[in-house]
Amino acid sequence: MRCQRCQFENIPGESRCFKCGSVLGGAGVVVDIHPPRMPPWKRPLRSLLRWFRLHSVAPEELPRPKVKVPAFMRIMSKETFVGLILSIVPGLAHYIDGRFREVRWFVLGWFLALLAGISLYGGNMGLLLLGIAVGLHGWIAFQHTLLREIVETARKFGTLTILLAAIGFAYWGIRSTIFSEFVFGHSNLAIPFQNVQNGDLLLGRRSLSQPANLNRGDFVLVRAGNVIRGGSGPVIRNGPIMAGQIVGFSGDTILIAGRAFIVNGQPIDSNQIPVPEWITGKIKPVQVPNDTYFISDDYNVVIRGNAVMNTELVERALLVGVSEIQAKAVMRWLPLGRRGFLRTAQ
Amino acid sequence: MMRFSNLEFGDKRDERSAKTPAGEDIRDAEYFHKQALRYWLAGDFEVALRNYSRALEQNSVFYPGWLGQVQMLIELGEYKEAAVWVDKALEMFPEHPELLSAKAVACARDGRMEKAIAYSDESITKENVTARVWLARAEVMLSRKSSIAQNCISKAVSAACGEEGLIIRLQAGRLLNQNGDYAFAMQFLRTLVDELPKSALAWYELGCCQAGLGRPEAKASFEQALKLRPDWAAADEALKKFNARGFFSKFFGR
Repeated sequence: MRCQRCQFENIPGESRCFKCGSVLGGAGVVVDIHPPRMPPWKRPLRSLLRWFRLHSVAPEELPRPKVKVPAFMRIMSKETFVGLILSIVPGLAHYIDGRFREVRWFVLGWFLALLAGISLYGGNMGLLLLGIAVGLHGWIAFQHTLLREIVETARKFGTLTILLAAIGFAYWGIRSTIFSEFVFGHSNLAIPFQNVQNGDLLLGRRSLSQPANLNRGDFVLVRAGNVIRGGSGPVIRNGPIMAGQIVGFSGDTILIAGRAFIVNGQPIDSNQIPVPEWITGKIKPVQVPNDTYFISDDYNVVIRGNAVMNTELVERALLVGVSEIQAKAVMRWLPLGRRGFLRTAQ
Repeated sequence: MMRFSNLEFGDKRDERSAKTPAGEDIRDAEYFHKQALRYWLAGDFEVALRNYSRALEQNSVFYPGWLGQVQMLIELGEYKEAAVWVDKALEMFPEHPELLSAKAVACARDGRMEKAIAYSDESITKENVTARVWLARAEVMLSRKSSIAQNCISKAVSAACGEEGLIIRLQAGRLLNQNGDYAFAMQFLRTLVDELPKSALAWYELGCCQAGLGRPEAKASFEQALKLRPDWAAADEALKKFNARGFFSKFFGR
């Protein structure tokens, strides 16, 4: 029996060619001849994985950039642990190792995502972009050494998760140390004079929260909360940082009449400092104690049972201690279309 | 009838001219292989794959059927499946250079470059390196942006002759077209459409090259491809895209 591939004459009855090992025709071989097929839902996933593979492997024949670094650094950068530490700056380990080309698109993507994320910080889109930046950072660090050394998928996944958590923690640390000067808070007030609307995110600076820098009508970011008046009395809970407007300082007497604040007998322009809508009914004059500000702010007020709005409730909600003021708001941060510095009240 | 007409003389029997007494083609493996080639030339890879499977139903050790199935899976973008299937084919035809090179192509297109290079290296070390092996080598080299690719293509084209030569030239043209080397691809495709005037795939590939170079002849090529295969969505889309070119694309020729 002659082999179709190598033309070797085999002994009749053999199933495979003695010379090349091919299956011989007429040997009665039963094989499955229908190839496996890819389900359509796998196509986009595979395309994505393929894209990652194609953009993370450097063609060996391409000339590598000549980076002038000491030899010991290049050797050290190949070590897993040192490589990871160097990857705190995305792409640095690759750069030292002369493999920056492998990750150049990832580094660019990280940089753009970080810039866009910072620019939109405070909103959902900003959070998403910063998450993408953290993910890309993790991938760059992971890709440098670990991806080559760890073979098992489960271990790869576990390592990447730990790495991402560590990098996320590092970002949080940077945010709370280097950028601790800045504070963000949402405004519940709508002040047309300052072009501030309900829900706007304001950016504040801590160093400007000193009493000398604060004037009547300025926006400040305070740690406020929901005011709840129940059977056992009103309760103010600590909540997120909110934006409020300074109405009175220590020693001032404040009265609310005709939907306007009257400070020490002088009416305040309600266009610049309006009275929040939740304050209703007759409120007695409020004397501002020492080390305290009277701050106009909007709250979600929940009044249960037969309780009514009274002066005590207003005092609890609007008299804020000096220590509670986090920062002086200086600019509208979001939405992006109305970003700009706040005007000073007259 | 001649006296020895019913005797079998090994492999010298010309299966391509096999006919039934009624004058119809015998539906054997070779018949389905030809059908598969016809559909491949029309750019219908799914039907071509089905015909290769039918060829194997007739003869499970029909080598062109196994190779064709792998090639069609690659054409359909199912690289992982192609790699699985080539392994199965290699069980039947161990260390066959064309199958190894097909696996190299599947790996290269799937972004597994290290494997692709390894399989390609292995394939060219075997005996009887064919034009397909050199073409696969060229594809792997083009993925690595290596200048050796052009030599591999030249070797492939010179190694093939006859009917296979046309197929190899078409594949070479397609490969170059995919990698953006339109001018070089057109060297193969322009003469090929004269030799294979009924191949919608050849016209489509020529049209893609012409469109890539901003030539107005691309429209006629796409129209010819659609005339040969009216239901071809890819050609239709390419024609629409070409017609919808902007002012600057038309002005600068790209």
